[in-house]
Amino acid sequence: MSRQQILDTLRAGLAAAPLVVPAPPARPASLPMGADAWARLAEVLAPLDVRLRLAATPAEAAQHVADIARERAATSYTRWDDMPPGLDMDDALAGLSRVSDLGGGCCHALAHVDLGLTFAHAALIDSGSLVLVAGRGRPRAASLLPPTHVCLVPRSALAPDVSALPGLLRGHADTAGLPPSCLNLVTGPSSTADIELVLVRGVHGPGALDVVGLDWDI
Amino acid sequence: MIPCLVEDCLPEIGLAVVSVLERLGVGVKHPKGQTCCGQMAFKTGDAARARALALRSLDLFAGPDAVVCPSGSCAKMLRAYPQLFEPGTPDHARALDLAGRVREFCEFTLALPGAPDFGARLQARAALHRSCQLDGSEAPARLLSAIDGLTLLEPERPERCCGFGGLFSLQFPAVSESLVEDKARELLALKPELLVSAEPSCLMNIGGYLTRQGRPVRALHAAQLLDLALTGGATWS
Amino acid sequence: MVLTDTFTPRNFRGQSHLAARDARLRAILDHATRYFMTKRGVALEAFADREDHFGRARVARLAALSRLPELLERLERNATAAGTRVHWARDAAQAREIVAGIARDCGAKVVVKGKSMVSEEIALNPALEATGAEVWETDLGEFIVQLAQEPPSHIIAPCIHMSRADVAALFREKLGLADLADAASIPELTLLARRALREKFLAADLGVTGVNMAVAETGSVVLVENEGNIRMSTTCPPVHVAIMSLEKVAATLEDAADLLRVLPRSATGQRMSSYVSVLTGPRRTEEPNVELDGPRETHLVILDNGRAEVLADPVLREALLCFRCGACLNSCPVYQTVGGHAYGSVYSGPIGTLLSSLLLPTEDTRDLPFGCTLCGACKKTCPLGIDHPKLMLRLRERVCAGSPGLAGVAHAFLALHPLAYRLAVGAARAVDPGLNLLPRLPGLPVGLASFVDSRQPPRLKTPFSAQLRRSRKKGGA
Repeated sequence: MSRQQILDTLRAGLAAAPLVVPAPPARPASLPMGADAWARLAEVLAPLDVRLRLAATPAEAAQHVADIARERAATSYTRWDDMPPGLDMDDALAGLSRVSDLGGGCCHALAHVDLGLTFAHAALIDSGSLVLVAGRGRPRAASLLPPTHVCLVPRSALAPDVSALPGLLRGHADTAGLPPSCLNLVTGPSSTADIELVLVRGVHGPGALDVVGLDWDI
Repeated sequence: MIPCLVEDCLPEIGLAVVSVLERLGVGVKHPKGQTCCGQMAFKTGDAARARALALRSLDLFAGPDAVVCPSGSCAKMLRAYPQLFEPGTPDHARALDLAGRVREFCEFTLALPGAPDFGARLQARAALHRSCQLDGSEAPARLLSAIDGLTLLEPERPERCCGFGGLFSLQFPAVSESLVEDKARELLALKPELLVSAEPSCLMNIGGYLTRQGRPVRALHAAQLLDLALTGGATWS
Repeated sequence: MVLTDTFTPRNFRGQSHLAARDARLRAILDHATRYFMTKRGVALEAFADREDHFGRARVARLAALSRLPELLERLERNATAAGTRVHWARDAAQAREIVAGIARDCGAKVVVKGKSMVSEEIALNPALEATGAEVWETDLGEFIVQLAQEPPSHIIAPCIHMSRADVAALFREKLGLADLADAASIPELTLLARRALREKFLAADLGVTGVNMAVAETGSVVLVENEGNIRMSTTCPPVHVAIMSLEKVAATLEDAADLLRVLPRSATGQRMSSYVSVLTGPRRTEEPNVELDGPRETHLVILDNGRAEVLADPVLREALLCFRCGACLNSCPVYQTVGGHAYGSVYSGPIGTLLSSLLLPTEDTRDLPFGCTLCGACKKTCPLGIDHPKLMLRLRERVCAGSPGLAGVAHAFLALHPLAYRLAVGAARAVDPGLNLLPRLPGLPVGLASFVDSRQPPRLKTPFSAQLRRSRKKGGA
């Protein structure tokens, strides 16, 4: 009833006064992905208080993750089950307790975990955004509830800008063509300036975001 | 085209316009029977009366001559006339023709041969109020910057509205007053000897406020300042 | 100025008068609007090809409006296919009833809300509370003003009118934190809010958010934020309701991406907001893709509330292009002076004036379009190229249709009749050449008195035309 009324009103309005849409300007070309891609990503992340640590080997990546856990004084962690092969980081985080049983409600289980480990399906250099696609073995809460979020970024995930978004959503569609239930762009830590316009990192989401770049072909 | 405010309250601006233009070799005609461009009616949502007034202007300013107006807002109104008429009608065509011939005073003067260097000279510190009604036009600044000896100063927020807005100042007096207070403070911070603008209504608003505050910094129209400088005003003080 | 929820758009003039005379409020607004404008300016400076990006964003919005009914049907089809239940609400009452019904159906005891202007537009909270649920605003600023029982003062900084000591006192009283000192730091206060709200998120049965855009092609909703409260609201509770005003649809993912490139930069000067969520249906529960979190049930409420009719007006429908970046507010000299409360409705500033005038009854909003100097700062700032002043004039015309102000009529009559005009001015001239009597004349609007009080009015002088004639005669002789 309401539906039909609304649609009828809209149709009548457009029929009475057709809206002619001009041609849009061409979409400006994205910056080319050069050898300096990591450097440019680091430059965009720095003002967000996000440090990019580059690793040339899995061992270096593990070392970075261990360093981060120590620096952030984490005693517990959670990670996606679906991590890239050989990069689950359980060895690097062996001194911490791992929360892995999320069956009874992910948010409750993760509410008091210190560190969440995920990887990015894409990293947008223009904005410093990490793209996380939720799915089996990739719960949304792992990058949201712990006060520290550590994200691994494979070299193959680097992309120029948000123009990559449609392709990512389509690329992760299921066999019926349905996009993933949740795709997040994470750009720096959680932040607010609501009290006196003073910037504070870490309100409801993680106050710390650490990025480890995996600079080899995965 | 002389705005009604200039006709009755600030005639010296009109005289300065004539003086400058004639000095620069322009033949000036002043069609009789001018009243109001219709801006007041247009801005208060009275399109019918604005249209009636526009028709008067279309008659008065028929013909091939450029129409020079020492007010950004009135010039803008004349350029808005086509909006008041149905496209395809003769009046719409006349409105388009007039709109194409309208020039704000500074724009017109800048397009004259030899511009902007007319040999004008005046030693003074002048604060320029750009006026939002000029839609960011650089013409006043370019015209006045060419005056030898003149230091042209711009306030912190050059294009911010002075708070006049015609009837707005009467309907929202406290807001209007706050805005003119801001504007005056930012202009006075420049320690100017005089205030200059190409918009008479802003001049009346800001100048009137400064006078009431006991800070009688003279507020001059760009045409008046140029007229002084062309007649060898030498120093302001 | 005392903040109450009795502000209405009807009293816009009175409210703006009080606000403009409130020195503390003005200082706060000055600080806040400059802060946002400066951040925005820096971001746009570094935004390569920004005019082209703005142009694409505008065309994406125009294209959506030009095919609105078809796109909404498509959105419905695709959202439904993804498992979302789609509801249509003609007005605020229907929307409230739909959301309250969902709350009742899921037995919601705790509801968490992400910041959403449209939920304020439909006055959702009281309706949810009437179902017996406790309702929590979870955006930090919204949470603070909810505790203080005040309306939000700024579109993106709702509690900008409160100091940290005010917030500390509030938390001490409302969160039962007796030991909290006035001198508590802002990060400390933020942490306390995080803890208090973390409990609510975990206990919540229902999450309610707005929608920044909905993508017809996929049936997705896109949510943009910085704090993470919207992610929490769409991750923890078992049910999520998204409420969208019907114009916020984008045809394709490409259009959504073009809009996302512009929105955060224009709103807060960020290249991208901290979190952008693209949500399509509830969590997947069928093998092989079983998810462990996210809502099990998702709803999308498509709200009209007066917008559909606006689409028939070729001038005014441009207001429906807006994607709520808030930049026109911060650039507006009137908003900078009176702030958000004075407008008396959810939407304030230039775009708020337009939206309120279009969505609320005309008799309640007559003054709104006149609270504008037509300076054009908003138009210049708008990344979508909305011509606010032009729409403002159109609204004035609508308000005045049939009832032009008396002064306007008199003026227009005189101006149409040059002789009468001269006589009228001449009469005034004879009685009161200095216009000194104006403020003392009874029956004149307070405004005129006030204007003349703060500004030396112009004096009537020998008219220009007479002076010119005289000098030309002299010159010719």
